[in-house]
This record gives sequence, structure tokens and C-alpha cells, in this order.
Amino acid sequence: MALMDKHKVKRQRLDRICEGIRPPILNGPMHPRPLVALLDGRDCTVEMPILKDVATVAFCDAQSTQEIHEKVLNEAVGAMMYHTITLSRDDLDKFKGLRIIVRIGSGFDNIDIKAAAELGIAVCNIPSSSVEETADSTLCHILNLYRRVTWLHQAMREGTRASSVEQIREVAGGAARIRGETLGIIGLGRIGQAVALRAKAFGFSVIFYDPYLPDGVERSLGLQRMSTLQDLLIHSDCVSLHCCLNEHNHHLINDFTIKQMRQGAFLVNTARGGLVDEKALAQALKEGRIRGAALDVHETEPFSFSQGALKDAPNLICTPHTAWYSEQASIESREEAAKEVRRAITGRIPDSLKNCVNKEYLMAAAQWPTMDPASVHQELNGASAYRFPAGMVGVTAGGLPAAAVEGMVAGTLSISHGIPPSHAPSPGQTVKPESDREIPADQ
Amino acid sequence: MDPDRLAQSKCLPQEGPFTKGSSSLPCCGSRCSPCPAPAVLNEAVGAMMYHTITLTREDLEKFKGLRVIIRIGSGYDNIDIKAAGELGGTVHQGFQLFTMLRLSLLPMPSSSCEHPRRWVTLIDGIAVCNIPSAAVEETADSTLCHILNLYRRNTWLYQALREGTRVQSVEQIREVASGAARIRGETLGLIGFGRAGQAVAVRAKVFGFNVLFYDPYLQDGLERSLGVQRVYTLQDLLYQSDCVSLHCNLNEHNHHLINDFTIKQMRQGAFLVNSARGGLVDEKALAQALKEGRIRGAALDVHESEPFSFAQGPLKDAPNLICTPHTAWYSEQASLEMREAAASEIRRAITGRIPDSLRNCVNKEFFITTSPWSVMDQQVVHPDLNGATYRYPPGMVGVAPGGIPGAMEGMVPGGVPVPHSLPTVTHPSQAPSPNQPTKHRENREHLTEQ
Repeated sequence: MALMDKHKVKRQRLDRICEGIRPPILNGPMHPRPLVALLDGRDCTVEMPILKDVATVAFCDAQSTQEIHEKVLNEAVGAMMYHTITLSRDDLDKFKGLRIIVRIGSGFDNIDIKAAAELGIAVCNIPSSSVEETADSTLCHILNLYRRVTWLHQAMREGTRASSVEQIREVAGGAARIRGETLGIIGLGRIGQAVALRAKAFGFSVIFYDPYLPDGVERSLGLQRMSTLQDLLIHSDCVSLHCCLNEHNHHLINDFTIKQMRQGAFLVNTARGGLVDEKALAQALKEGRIRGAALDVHETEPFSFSQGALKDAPNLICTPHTAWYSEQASIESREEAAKEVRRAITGRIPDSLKNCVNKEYLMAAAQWPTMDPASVHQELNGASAYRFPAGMVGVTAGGLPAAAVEGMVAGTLSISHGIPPSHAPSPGQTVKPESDREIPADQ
Repeated sequence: MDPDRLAQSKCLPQEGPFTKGSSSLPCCGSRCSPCPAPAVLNEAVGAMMYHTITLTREDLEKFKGLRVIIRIGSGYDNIDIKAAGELGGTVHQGFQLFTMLRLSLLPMPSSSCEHPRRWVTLIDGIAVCNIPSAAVEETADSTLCHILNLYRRNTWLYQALREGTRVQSVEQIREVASGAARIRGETLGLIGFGRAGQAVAVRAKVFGFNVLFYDPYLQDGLERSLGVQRVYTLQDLLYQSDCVSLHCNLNEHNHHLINDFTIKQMRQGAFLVNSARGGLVDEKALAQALKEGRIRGAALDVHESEPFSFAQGPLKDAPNLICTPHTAWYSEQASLEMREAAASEIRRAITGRIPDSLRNCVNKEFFITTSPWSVMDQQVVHPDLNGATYRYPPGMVGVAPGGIPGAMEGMVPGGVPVPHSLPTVTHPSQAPSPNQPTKHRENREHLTEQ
């Protein structure tokens, strides 16, 4: 009895292992024309010409995975998405055959890339298409705060008249000279650098804080680097956010950090809404501690002036997550995304990918400790325990000989690391790396 | 002499002691005519002004003693500087013409009657000065802000959000932001390459604009200094530009520079920005072009008639328009700087020579040249002018009736050298006695006959 219990426990443990971990077979067999789905959009006209000979392209126009059709969840090998849908670990689990997700844009905080890697899904982004558009929009926001053009236009729309110079001074009150002001950039990536260079031409003195950059970047561009966020906030007249959102910097700008800012400073955010605690910001705007704020991104989108924490905040300029957009940037990013999916389908994951953001997690997840075949439980020896779940794309249940599957080795994993596929090679069988579609010769 | 008091006495009635009641006089602040307050028209020696009032030849003739006008700002198209330079222009002999407002501030000579000197005045024209440098960067920054608002559409997007538009999916983002364009590779054409134009060029380059300019008044070579391209006809500029920005003065040659004909030389779907002068743009033609989409968007800080209102005028129903109420120049620092600079210029006018001591005189060439007269000996001077007969009118500011001895006439402020003494300021209530020279400008020609 006790032995039966022990086996049962082992079995349960195995089952848990096998169902929780998608085998990281990154370059396993694929349907000849795999399904690629655009998750949160409807327009595939740009992607279609690039993908139509290697994939079937579909769109979901979903705002959450609940709205995604079951066929897509079961069959999609590739997914393309924007920022308007979130893929948490649970969402990713719903997909049965997904191998590649391409985020058509630069931020990927709406995808749990670590969970994706553990499930054997590579995540890519398109980091360069909208760099200058975003920088130009950021400068537009900064200038609108300093020169007040947006608010003045609004005042004129509402009927304000300014006849005399005194009235001009009154309606434009708060408009400030830029030369000599200090712009503090949080995050000096591609966009941060582009903003820094533009701001210098206006006479801003530019400082930045970026804990991830190596030494010396400040010398390249002639900027001043601050070693702590507090230093930056203390010295800036205008603070602009250009960092990714991750688990460490949610609500980076909060009540405490706002109090470290200068009295009457400006705040600009074209990065991610989650970086700013909107309640604290609203309070600071009402009290005048922040003289004005310009936000392209918000904690909940779509943003509305009539709802949310910023409802009655004064001196606020908002745009609906449009800083990235120009027709050319849009087309470029979509073409790049389609090409990345194509590389994933026709090449190796993650080697063939240009902008894979979870490569190291993929490697780590696929890295199993070296297993001595003898130590492997016989039930794990490929034969009985593991089956590709029915419904996996292109593979009918039991359709692939187990041996062939065993011969499958994840992409770049070299044999010498002894990294086996999910099941240990049966003794004596040579395991060789191969391209995606080949069936091993020893079949 | 206290410069603050000085400036105050010279200001137009909004700020000075001649304000009736507590507010400015009805016509002041408007563009039509200067304040009719007689004291100012008759006595003011210096005037400071903004852009909201116009001084035509007729307006200038109303001033009896004006010698210098300071425009607190850079544009002076609202002043007929040619007329100003020509007014007066007659040499008057034997005239001591110098008086000043607030003479109580001036030191009195001890024995006035023996004061030997008599000055001869040249009634040179009215010098007009501006303050060209205080708001250069503010204007350039505002111009770039306008340009960016046209390319990135922030102002219109903000307006859409204010009006309740909900933008959920990426398709909706593309729709609401439709028209937002990539800047790198676009051509920005600047009409006028002065201080503001150059500052705009330097900023625009960093965004990736290809910058070119047209300026018929500029010497060769500046395009090399800044690394921009120069074109030699307006048409060339309009043909090549995706965005046209005006940075020239308004003068008699370029009214309605942007009109129906020239708009048709612009690219289909170009942008237009104007932070210079409203008179450069024919608003009817612009409205038509905006409605037809020939111009994709326009951003205007200045208008043909100001104050501008969206509810009136030819631009009333024009789409794709961003307007600000002549605020591109404004920042608190710029405002203070230009007012201080204007007061300093007035001070130089009073304490120095006109126009030599002036830093930014814009109508020097219109002054009628007269040779300087030195002190003349007394025979030339009409006996009646010998201090005795001139009386300051009662009620004149700061001067008690009859309180000032005639020797005041000989008084010259600070360091005014002889040849350029300022003319007298007369008071209208004092009718000249038959033998007394009239002090009104237009009658001065007759004086020599007396």
C-alpha cells in the first residue's frame, strides 16, 4: 500500500511537472502554414504581404484573452500585439502552441516575458520605429508646458480675448524662458537620448538618471549624469520619463518622490502610465507643487478627463497614447513585426530573431540539469509519460514517433551541455541538433 | 534724474500721471489713435509703446514735442517711422526750446537771469527705437512649439480628449492622430532670416528638418555659418517647403505676402506658421486654402485684426487652425528685460544725443540732416525770448504757477551737448502772445518771421 501511495505521489508530481512546464522545444515541428494572429487589432494589410506565403494570418481584435477565439488559442504559433491587451502568465497558459510573440512597438510591460520563456515562447519587440516621433512629441509636450500654446489655444476657443499687453501677460501668465532651465530625463535609452539632443538646442541644461547604463554615456552626448533619482528630482525644473515599466519602478513618481521635486516643476510622461501615481500627481497639481503636467500615457487607458484620479486636476495636458504615431512609423513597425514573425517561422528561435527580449529567460528555462539516464525515472524515458497534448498544432495525437521527438533538441543548446529535450534520450541514441523541420535521420 | 519717474512721465496714459481716473483713457490700448490727453500730446518728449496702438503720420503730427519713441518689442510696423523721421526737420534759430516735464526735479540755477546761454534747437525728426533682442528665444521656442503642434497634433488631440473622445484601440489611435507626420526629412522654409529666424533654424535642424530660408535683405554667407540652405526667390521657398514659417518684419512691400497666388505656389498639404505679423497673411485666402485642404494646418500667433477671436473674421470656420493671442514673445523675464531696455534707451535719448546715443534707432536714415548749431550769441536771439516772457502754465506737473524763474529755460538736463538740445514743450493753455513764438510744431516755420 505504501508503495502504491509512493508511486501515486510520484505520478502526481510528474503530472504537475508535465502540465506546468511546456517543454521548451523552441524549434520543434511546425505546421507548414502555421497560424499567426494579431491579437488586439483588426488591420493586417501591412503584415499580410510579408507573411502570406509562410503563414495563415488572422486577427482577433480582442481586449483580453477572454475574447480570443478558441481556435486561435489552440493553434496559433505566432502572435502580434500592441499595448492594448495584457498577457499574464495565466493568459499565456491558454495558448497551446504559441512559440513567438511580437510586440508591435517598443514597450513590453504588458507581457509576462519570464512566464513566456518558461512556456517556451520567445517575445520580441520593435524598438526603433517610433523613437523620433516619441522624442518629437515629448518636446512638443515640454514646449506646450513652457510656452502654453495648447492652453492659450484652448482659452481662445473658449472666447477669451487679449487686447492689451497687460491682458496678454495675464492670459499667458506662467509662460517661462527656457534657456537656463534644467531638464531631467529618467531613463536614457533611445528615446531619452533623442529628447536630450533636441532639448539642448533650446538651451535646456540636460541631466539624466539611468541605473542600467554603463559609465561613459554621458560623455558621448555631453550630458550630466545623476547617480540617484533623488539627485535628479532635486535639480530638475522639468522631469521627463523615458524608462520601461518593470517590477521595480511602478509608481516611481509618487507622493514621496514628488516632494523631492522642485516647487513648481513640470512633469512629462510619454513612457508608461504605471510609472506615475495619478492620485499623488493630482494632489500636487492642485496644490501647485507641480506647475503643470503633460501625459501621453495613463494608469488606465483609454484616458478620460471626466474620470479617474486626474478628473479635476488643473494645468494638465493629455494626449491619448499617440506620441509614437506617424503613418510612416506605424507602417515601419508593422512591417518589422511581420518580418520578425517570418524569421521565427522560417528560422531558429531565438537565433534568427533580431529583437528577442527574453532570450536569457528562454535559455534558462530550457536548461535542464544534466541528467544521467540511469537516474531518470523510467517513466520519464519518453515512452509513456509524455505526450504532446492533443490539439498541438500540426501534430496529431501520437502522430510523431517518440524517438523522433526525443531527437529534438532546442535551438542553440549545444549537446555538450547535456541539455536534453524533455525526455532523456534513450541510451545509445545519438542526439543531434537539427533545423526545425527535419526529421532525424535515425527515424 | 530718477529713471523710474522719468519713464513714468513719458508713458502713455495707461501708466503715467495723465490717466484720467484710475483706468486708461478710452482710446488707449486700441490701434486707432493715440490718447487725446492734451498734456501728453503737447508735452511728451518721449513715448514708449507696445504693438497695440498705431501711430500714423497724422497721429505723429498730434504730438508737439515728441523726440523719441521706443517700441517695447521688436516690430515697429505700427509706427510710420519715415514720417517720424521727417517731422519737424526745420532749423529754428534763436530758440531756446528746452523744457522738461517734472521740472521740479531739475536743479534750479542760482542766478537765473544772468544765465548767458541760449540754445538753438534743431528740430530733428522723431527717433524711433525698438528692443530687438529681449524676446528672440521666446519667439523661436513658441514657433517650434507651433510647428510641433502641427506635426504631432498635441493641441488638437488634447482638444479631442477634452471634448470626450475615447481612444481605445490602436486603430482608434491611428484615426484620432491621423495626419501626425514624421519630421525627419521634411523641409522647413523660413521667410526672413533675422534673429528669430536664425534661432528657429538652429532648433529645427536638431529635429531633422531640412532648413532653408529666403531673405532678400541679407548679405551672403550666413547660410554657411548655420549650415542651412538659402533660396533667392519666394517662389523657390514655397515650392520646396513642407512647412513655411514667417519671420520677417511687416513693411510696405510685403503686406499679404501669403495670398491666394502665393499659397498656390506652396506644396499641397503644407503647413503655415506665423509668429511675425498678421498683415503678412491674407486670412481670407488662408481660410479658403484650409477648407480645401491645400494647406493642411496653420498655426498663427498674430492676426490681421487683433485681438483675434475664433468667432469672427475670415478664419471663423476654418479647420485645422491653432491660434494664440500674440503671446509668442512673452515670458516674465523677456517682458521685464524689454521694459528695462526701453527705459534705458529713453534715458540715453534724454541724457545723450539723438540719434547717436541710441542703440536701436530704426529710422536714422529718415532724419533730415542739419548741421549742428553751437551756442549763438545773444543778438540773434529775439529779445522776447530772453527768458522773460516764457511762463510755465499753471497746473503743469510739478511746477508751481509762476514758481520757476525764467532761467529755467536755459536749463539743459544732464549732459546734453549744445547742438542737440531738446525742443520746448508747450502747454496748450498758454496762448502765445503776439510777440511770443508759438511753440506748436506746425507753426514753427513762422517763428523766424517774428
